[in-house]
Amino acid sequence: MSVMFFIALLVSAPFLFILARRPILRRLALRNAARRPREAALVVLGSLLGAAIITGSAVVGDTMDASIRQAARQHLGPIDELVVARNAGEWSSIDGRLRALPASSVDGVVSLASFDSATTAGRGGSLRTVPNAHVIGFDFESARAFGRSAAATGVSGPTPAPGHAAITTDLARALDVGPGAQIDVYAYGRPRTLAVDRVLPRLGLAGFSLSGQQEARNVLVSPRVFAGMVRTRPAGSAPPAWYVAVSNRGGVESGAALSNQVTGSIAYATAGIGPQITDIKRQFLDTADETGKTFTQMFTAMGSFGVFAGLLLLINLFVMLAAERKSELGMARAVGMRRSQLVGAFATEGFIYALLASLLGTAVGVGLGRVLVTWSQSAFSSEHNRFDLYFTVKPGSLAQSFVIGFVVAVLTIVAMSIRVSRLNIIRAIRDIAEPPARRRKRWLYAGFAAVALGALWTVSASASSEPFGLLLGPTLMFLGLAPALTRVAPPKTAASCLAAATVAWGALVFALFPDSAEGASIMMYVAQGIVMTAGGVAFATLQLDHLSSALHRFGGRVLSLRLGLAYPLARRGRTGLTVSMYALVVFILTFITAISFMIDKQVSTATANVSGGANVFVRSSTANPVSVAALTRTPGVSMVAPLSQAEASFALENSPEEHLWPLTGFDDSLVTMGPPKLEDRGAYKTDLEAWSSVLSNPSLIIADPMFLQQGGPPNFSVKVGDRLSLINPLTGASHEVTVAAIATGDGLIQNGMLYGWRGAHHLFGDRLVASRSYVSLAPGTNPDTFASHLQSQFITNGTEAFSIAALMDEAFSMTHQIFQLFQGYLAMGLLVGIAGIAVVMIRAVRERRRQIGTLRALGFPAQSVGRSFAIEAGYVALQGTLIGALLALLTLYTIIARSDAMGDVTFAVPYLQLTVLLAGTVLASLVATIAPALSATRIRPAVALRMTG
Amino acid sequence: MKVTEVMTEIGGVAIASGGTAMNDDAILVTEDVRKIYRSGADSIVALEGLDLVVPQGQFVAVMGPSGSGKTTLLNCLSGLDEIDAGRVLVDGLSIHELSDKERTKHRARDMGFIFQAFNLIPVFTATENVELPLLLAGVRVTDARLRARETLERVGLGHRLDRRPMELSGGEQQRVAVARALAGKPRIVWADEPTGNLDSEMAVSVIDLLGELHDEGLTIILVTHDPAVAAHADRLITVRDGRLVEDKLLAGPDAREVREEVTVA
Repeated sequence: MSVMFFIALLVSAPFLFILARRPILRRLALRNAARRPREAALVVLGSLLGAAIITGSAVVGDTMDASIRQAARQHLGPIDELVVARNAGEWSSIDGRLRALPASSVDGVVSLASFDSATTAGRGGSLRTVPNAHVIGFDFESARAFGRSAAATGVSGPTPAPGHAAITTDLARALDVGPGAQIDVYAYGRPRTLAVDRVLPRLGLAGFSLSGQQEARNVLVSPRVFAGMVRTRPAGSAPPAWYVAVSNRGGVESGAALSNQVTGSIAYATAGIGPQITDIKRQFLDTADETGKTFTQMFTAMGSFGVFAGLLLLINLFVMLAAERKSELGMARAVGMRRSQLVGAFATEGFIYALLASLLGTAVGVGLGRVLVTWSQSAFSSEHNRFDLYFTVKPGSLAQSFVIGFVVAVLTIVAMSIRVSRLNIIRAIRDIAEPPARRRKRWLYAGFAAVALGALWTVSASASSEPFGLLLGPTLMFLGLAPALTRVAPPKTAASCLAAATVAWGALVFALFPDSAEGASIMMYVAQGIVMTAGGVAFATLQLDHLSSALHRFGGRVLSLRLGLAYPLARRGRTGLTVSMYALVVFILTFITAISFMIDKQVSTATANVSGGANVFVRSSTANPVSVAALTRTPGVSMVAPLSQAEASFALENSPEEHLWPLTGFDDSLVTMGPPKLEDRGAYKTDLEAWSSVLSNPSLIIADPMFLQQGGPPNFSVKVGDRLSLINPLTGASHEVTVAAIATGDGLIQNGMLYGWRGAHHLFGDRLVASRSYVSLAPGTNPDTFASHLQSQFITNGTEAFSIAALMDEAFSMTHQIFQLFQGYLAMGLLVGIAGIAVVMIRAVRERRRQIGTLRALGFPAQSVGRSFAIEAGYVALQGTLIGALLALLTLYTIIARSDAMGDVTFAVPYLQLTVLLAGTVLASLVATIAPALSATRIRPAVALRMTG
Repeated sequence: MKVTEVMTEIGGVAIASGGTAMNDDAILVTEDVRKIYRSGADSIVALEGLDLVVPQGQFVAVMGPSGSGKTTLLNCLSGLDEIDAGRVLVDGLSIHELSDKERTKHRARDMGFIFQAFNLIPVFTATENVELPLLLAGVRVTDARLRARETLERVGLGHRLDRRPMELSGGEQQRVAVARALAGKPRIVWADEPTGNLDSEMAVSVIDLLGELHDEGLTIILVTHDPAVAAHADRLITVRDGRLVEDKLLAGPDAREVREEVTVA
């Protein structure tokens, strides 16, 4: 934060000096800023959106980070490391050894064990069921002493007596029970009735859960009761997980800093046993940091279109300010003001606007972040997947957002001030147009340098498939060619060709180099959007003459139309800036809208791909799984393909680092039933051939397309042929495997890596339980009805059954909501465009006051004056939205139709949504122009002409 | 001599008790026109009891010191600005009783304006600027374009038809403004310091042009500081503190003497 403060101070220093020590410049800056308070307010309003968007993005990131950290408090509390034993004997031995860990780094050791169970309450019609509860056994007194903070453990009261249990608030709510009620726990082949002693919060050891779910539906019992339940474990059910938890010295989060040291101590203490040791808290916190950063980057990247649009607005405003004050500036120079002083005065005025805008923008950004978090909450909550967001604003993020917004605005203003100060005194005083710029040799040389640099960049990028170089290298070359080409060919033709080439290259680059698009960051797409929009707007601006002549031919009679278009056609630079503002924002909005639409259309294909020959997905408690035989006997079932899942470790080739990822074992019944479609089957001729090979060969594996997308190396993307070490984290046993194929994304089923049963069983032994199944139904059986029936039939097995179509619908619906969230966020960028056009029009009315007076004097009706402003705004908005939308669709078409970057997605245009979006944008722009247009109609000719004598 | 007496003498015009112009030849009649500028609690009387009759085809110059009310007089009489009392009749039509829409239409059809600062529309070419009032008056697009070009050729700008104002010199811009004022064949042209921003050579050419048009029967009301410019008029009105203090004929038997007197002054 202090660094940010220093940067802000450094940037402000010259302006603070001017304000303190240069009275004339200070007077000019302050009085000009205060001269027209309403317009100064408009400039500030137009400039604050950049800072608001940056702050909003940071707030979303802070919230994600804090929410995951909150989950760490709720599910782990003081637990920093977890040591997982293979069996009860080891568990006890490890517990004993770890109690000797040095007190200088460890302040608690507690043993706990858990298994899954189905839990019910009530009877008959009032029966309430929780299929996926967890039974956890530990000693409450030891637990409270764990980590020297009883409050952080969430545990209170004595250890429940035999026949009694404490439950968490989440389970109490789901079962609608409280203290004194009775619940039935189904595990290891038999039910146990327990009396609820008390309800504990979802916190620390009481809320212990590694399921990844937000809620912790825990039944907390004494170690003795737990052992009694486990004693009856039948074959085919998973043994409990035996944990020894370690708390490091320090707080719930700060203790993780000692993880390296404590993990080493644990390994040393358990030498000879070799249990799985996990620095679980640090992993949670790392995930929190990574997720927070990812969300900040994602929203910042998308928001950057709005930020760029805001910068264009700022430039436009200063161009207009400079034009309005042209003669004043000329006079200032004439009476002896140096150019640097002019820059100082103008930039100091801008500094005041930028400071106010950044402060206000940061405040508005917090509000924007609040709205985004509220929207996000619904996107992150579905029936089977929930994640609570805790709105958080970190002062450091606020400072950073403010400084970024402020510095960017000040630099833009200084650049504009330098440009403004380069005026010819006489021409400025007499308000005479600047002559065409001289062709300077230095531009020619700079152009050649740019071409050389662009060529080098392109060559180096094409060798490594580096996307930024491939996109920007040739773009730089086109830009560098401009000074030379405009000397040898008609300038407009040459510039038009280069602009068209830029657009074409932007649209085609990833179709021509598909490898470079894989794993490309969002910022790359931002760069692509900016390059294409700049090229598109430049091309359209250069071709405006055709529109002008067409206008005379067909619309010459309609004077308001002629006048409305005359200004944007005559002032192409300014028009280009405003059009770019719209085009940038509409580009990304169209991009997201169209992708969302195309993905939505994929739901039936995706369902068919994931289903293979199955209709229903079933999962049950690993401690009491429903048997394949029982499932097969159920009426309506045609075939059952059992799946068994375990948490495995994977190490990439030549890397010692291990990554936990789910692994699902399948047998020949899945191949017989019809396996899910593969995204990439490598060298195999058919998907079936690939599945059969993996089934029969334990050296082959089918990879999850999302493998290590989170927690893996940066930009990692699994490919056919990759070699991996597959490890049982409990035993350390490993096997080398090669990726034979890549599966399709399976949404909420989350099979992870797919591996043949034989190899999986060899590695994971009795931990691998067939608790998941794909079920193929007899013709005419409704999957949804069947799933509901199955769930109630096998209630004690903790059975959850879903039609695969319903699960995929839910997954697509979540994706759709996330896209809607993005669209909502990007719509903030549209506000920049709409507010921008309003500000530009208000300034235009002021600037053209005299001309409006003249027109009115000549007999131009007041309504026509207003109409001409509306036409001008509509034209600019329409041009920007059309360019943005067309370029976005062109980009998507080339990505989808010409490369594999989007998998099976087929190109489609969401005509209705786009029509609503584009028409809404233009309409909103027209609404924003009502006030300035009305003020233009109210201008009295005599007053505007200042005919006082 | 009273103003009404002067008017009677110079224009052969009489004012009836009801204030209606008795002379059918009068294009402009004003009756006790009053204009007050208000700013907060302050108010300034810009025109006071202005009575004036201008016959069709007369070239009237309005002179007076700065702040005397010359431009206010022009604005109020042409209907660009409101008045606080009195009546202004243009072609017998009380223009301040018309709605804004009707008055605008009237200006487009019957009036032309020339301003000191030219006031051309910067994003329109010379031709487009000149055809603007024609289109406003309802002339067809092709006819308007033709007439605009003819008018520009007449003012000596046939070679500058497609130039924008910024690409023209001051004198050329004012010629475009004159062409714009004339193209619609108005009944009356209002000119506010039309030579104020021009050098003497350019000023002479613009005034000569106005003189030619006047010779063709156009009524011109011209505000100027420049006695040499005023000397081209038929009649000279002097305004001071919002009041018409002097009204002289510059045409007729004594004109030469008066002209010399004006020029020397």
